[in-house]
Amino acid sequence: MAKNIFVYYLLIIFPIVLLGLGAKNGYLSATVFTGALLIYALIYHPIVSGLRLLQSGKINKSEFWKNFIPFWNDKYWTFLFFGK
Amino acid sequence: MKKKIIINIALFAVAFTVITYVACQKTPENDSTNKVVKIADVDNPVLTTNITISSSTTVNVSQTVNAVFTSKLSSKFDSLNIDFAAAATYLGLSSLSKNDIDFTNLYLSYINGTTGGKAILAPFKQNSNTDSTNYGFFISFEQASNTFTKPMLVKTVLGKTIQYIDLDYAKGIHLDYNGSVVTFGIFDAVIAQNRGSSAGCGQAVSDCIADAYVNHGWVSVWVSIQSAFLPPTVAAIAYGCVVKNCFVK
Repeated sequence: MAKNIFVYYLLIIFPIVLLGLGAKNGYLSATVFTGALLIYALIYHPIVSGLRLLQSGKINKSEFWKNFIPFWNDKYWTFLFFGK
Repeated sequence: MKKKIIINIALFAVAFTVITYVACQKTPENDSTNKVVKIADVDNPVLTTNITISSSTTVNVSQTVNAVFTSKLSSKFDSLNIDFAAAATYLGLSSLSKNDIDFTNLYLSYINGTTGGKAILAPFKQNSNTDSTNYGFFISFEQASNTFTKPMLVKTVLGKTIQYIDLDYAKGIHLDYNGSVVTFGIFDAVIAQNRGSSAGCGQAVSDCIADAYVNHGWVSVWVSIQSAFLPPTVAAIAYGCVVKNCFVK
């Protein structure tokens, strides 16, 4: 599903907008916001990016875990965000 | 490839630097909470009114003008390190600054016959008898320990709502009353960082990170977008907040 670039954008931008609005309007405490943000950056984002790369055939299953290494998938950055 | 990595690392460094300078001002070292203020300083009222709440309880409300006390209350306000933009938004004001508060014209209230605390209110200069909405800076003075406690910003809408911002714990409290129905809610408004040493740097780091993403206009928008495109930005901001709140003296 994340193979589609629009779906990918939706999946990565929607949660962060939701978190920001939640904190801004007082629905999330600073602690909950920070915890959710770290889960987003360290777990959710690598999974979504990894799935997009996997479904597009850019990486194989054995390389999927490497998405959790900061900056590792930078070499696919243009593909991830611009489809090139 | 190397160019991309260098650009990304540069963005990481920029996020760290900007957050270090922009987000969450550190609590000043010289908190005046424990400054001694003699109650005699404020017992010089220019106007006194007694309000009877029940047959056994009468609240004394006095208006006082006292230069010494004004100065000490003003210093206390300075030590609170308030995020004025966030406070203004929460209270529905276009802007807010210390200059909006009239520290020279204070109102004291306490229950007659008691020797406990006195509630002190510094009204906003914009207040008027004809407006239904008024604002004030509230603080409690504990006579026994000679200390100020519970600093709050207060908004009242006649017959409708009372809003408080607890400046010690960065909490917004909203009371709506409609006849006999009262709605009570607490919002973590991330308005002030004056949590004192008991909260520790962990809480301050959480507040700082949330503050970076929420309370700084276009910088917050940029940080959010960069975090979506480059997740290590979150680590840069967290690192900046840890350095600022836990190591920088």
